[in-house]
Amino acid sequence: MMYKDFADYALSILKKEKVDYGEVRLEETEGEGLVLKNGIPEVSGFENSAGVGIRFLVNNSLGFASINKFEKKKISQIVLQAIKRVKRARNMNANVRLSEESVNKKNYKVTQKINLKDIDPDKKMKLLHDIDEKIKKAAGRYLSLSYNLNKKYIITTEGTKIISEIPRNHFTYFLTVQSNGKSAQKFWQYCNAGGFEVVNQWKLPELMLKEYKAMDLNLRKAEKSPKGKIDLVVGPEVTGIMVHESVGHPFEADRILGREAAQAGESFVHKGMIGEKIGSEQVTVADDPTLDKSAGYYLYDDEGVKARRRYLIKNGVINEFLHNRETAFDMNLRSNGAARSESFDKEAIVRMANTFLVPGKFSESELIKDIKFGVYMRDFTEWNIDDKRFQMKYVGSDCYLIKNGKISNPVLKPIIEITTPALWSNVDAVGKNIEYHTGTCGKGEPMQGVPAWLGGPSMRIRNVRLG
Amino acid sequence: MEILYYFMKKLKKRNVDDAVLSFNASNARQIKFSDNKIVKDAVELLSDVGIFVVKDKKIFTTTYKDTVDETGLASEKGNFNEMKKKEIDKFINKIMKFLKAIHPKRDYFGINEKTFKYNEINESYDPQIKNLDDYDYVRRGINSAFKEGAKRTNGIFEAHESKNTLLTSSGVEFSEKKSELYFSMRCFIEKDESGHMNAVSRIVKKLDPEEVGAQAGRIARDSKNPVNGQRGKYDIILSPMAFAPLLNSIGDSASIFSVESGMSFFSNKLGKKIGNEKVTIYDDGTLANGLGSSKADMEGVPTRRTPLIENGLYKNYLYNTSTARKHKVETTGNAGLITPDPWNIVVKKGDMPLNEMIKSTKKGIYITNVWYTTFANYHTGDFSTIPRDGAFLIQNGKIIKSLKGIRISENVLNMLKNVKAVGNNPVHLRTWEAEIPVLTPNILIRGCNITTPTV
Repeated sequence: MMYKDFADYALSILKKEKVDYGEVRLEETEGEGLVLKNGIPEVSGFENSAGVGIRFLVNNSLGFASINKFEKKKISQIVLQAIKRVKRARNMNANVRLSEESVNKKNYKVTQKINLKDIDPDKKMKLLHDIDEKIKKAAGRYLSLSYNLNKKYIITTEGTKIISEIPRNHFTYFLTVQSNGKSAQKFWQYCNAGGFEVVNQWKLPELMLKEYKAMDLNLRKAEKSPKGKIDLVVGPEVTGIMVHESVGHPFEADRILGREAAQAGESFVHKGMIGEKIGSEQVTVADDPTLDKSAGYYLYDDEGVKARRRYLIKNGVINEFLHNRETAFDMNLRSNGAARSESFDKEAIVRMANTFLVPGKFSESELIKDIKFGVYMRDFTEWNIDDKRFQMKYVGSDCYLIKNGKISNPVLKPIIEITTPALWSNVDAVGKNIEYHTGTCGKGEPMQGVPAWLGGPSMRIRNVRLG
Repeated sequence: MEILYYFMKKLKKRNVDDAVLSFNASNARQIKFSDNKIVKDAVELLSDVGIFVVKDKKIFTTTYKDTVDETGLASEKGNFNEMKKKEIDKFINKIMKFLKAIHPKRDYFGINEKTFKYNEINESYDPQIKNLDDYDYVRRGINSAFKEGAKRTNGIFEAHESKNTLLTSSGVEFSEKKSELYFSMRCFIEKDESGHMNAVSRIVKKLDPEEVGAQAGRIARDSKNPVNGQRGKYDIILSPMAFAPLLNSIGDSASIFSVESGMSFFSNKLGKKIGNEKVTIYDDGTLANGLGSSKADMEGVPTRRTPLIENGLYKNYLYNTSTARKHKVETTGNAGLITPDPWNIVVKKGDMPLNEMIKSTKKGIYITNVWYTTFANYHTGDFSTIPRDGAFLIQNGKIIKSLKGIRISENVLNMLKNVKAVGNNPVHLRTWEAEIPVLTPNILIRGCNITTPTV
């Protein structure tokens, strides 16, 4: 990496100042992006950025400095300024301590079968035009294709040294479809780690045509949605967002401990709830940064801790929270490697990576076949959840009635407003058709958005009320 | 400044049609506190050059980060040497190669070509920001919240200073310094009893940490023993904190870029009555002490105050030069480096104080903050958002209890039509969900749809 010496220099200052713990994270990122709006190319560009984030503990107080000027004098000045500030505020500082972790040394990268730099912007724009051609009847078409290649160099005073290189591809669309004097919109994104081969695998023109057709059909044919108590089958897109919002977030240990209370919020879950039942037997939820080619992929987190799969809920029972070293110490545990940061100038905090409902044994048609009257919700538009992650709302988009075990007419915007325990307790069957979708997960102040997979198969939720 | 001149000279040699270079240097301090203690103290020193280049209607942007010692101010000379020049030459080669491979934007019509004299923005830079005792601000805020009964306080204190210089291929050149203070505090007492207040200012004397702590503490204290709310139609009073995210959607929807992209509920609304006559909302780039204020936009056009909604009539979209020429109107001076963006969203103040709003309400809810605002459809304006912190049920002109577990499920245009009164106490705000700065009082809206979980 180009600026490795400057990161080493920053660590040498931390050592010289005898901090209790020091960590330097150099990030060098390059990327490219193109936008096509209603068939007309908008702005295109490339990115080349680098910077270093420096985190330390002095007298159990946490300090952080970030800089993108690679001059030793400036780096030294800002690190010393940060240390001086932290020492000065001693009597107001929280007692921050980190869990004991093994020292790791590793160099890893995600391979690219088709190197992203070998694909000309012209070829990518042609792909966007191909997609646009398929969905030309849509009133509004915003398509964006981009990639970034993120190289990280993480070193600590404990001796950890992690070097990584992760390329990520992103496709985002915002579609407006109008028919019968009504309109519908969908915003969605795709992200995989890897070379350009993953973009080819998405088969975007076919995928987008399918999305357009579903939106158009719903506008032309949908009936009013039934209301009241009903059986509901949700598709993988809906399962993914439900898992992310109502299991992943409330299981972040920093929320549980109150560190994010001012903005991102707290959690209805408290630390004594490990072992408590929160859902039906069928519900097992995992978060796994090591999923191959995933949006949230990493093998070592931003504190240099080895990543692993975390089972948040096992057969309906709360099993484990997401931790970084600070929260792990507070709960007398080891970190499970959930520290992530958006970029070099932000501190790493507890984040999800790829959160999903572990698949069951049923096909989607088996989930539907013994429902007499219900609704199938394939995807959604508006959604939200309160900041303790207890009561949530999803407005369906591509949705159908289920009559006598079969998918029937499209229905218009069914709405489910439900609490987290009620949702997961009413799941009585889980499909095997797992899909991973992408979200940009927001948390922290300043806000940090990180790519994450939101996944799962279809699932059946019995006896819920549509409003 | 040398770095910008060098970049521009080289770009012009390559016969680009338009170029905008924007140097930004910032230093910032941030204190994060949780449970009354500081959990992180951060400092930051960042700079870059934003680059916008057009050749044969092909539009390119990037940022150049390796700015060495440059400060961006014409009066301050940097350590700009031959090595740096070679790096920039290489960077420009890369830009030109990229430009060859991209496609033209057929509806691009150029940048501003005129030069202007700029008026200074009042209360935009305060050198005192350097010398603040940040810890004292946090301490005073926390103590003030304690006096109101708060048990746990959480929040952020930030101080920013930035220097920006703009140079365009049309010969526009200007620099400005900005300062910014941000204080956000959320207080808790018992379970589900909380209050949140933010304050922002570009000058030191107009940010009072004690007032922030006191207000957040008072809301938490008043929110004692909240009960689950009931579904139905209510008149709602939105405090400035609660109105700010909706005002951001209004600001975003006003950009012609959103209109063209199907992301605006103001599409086809120009000249039409969309709100109650009490509603007047501006975008104002000249607002004194406005966090978003700037002398000029990103192509050097002086900023101005542009009415978006005047007495309920929808008046203007926000344009840069290119989109204005496309739509055969004048630019509104809202050019960002890529799209037209609002500066500060300002609600014209009314005459009704909060206590009279409460008094005049038969069945309503006073909402002090909201969270997670999302749209089902930006084109129609259908959205929902979740009240958090103090939310108070009003019956027959009196607050009778504190509520929790409710959601506003509404439509922005319906709400603008149903505005019953505008408050007389505007405050400057920026919040987590409202990144565009706003200046707004309380607002009273009739007949809003409140929903709750049904299971």
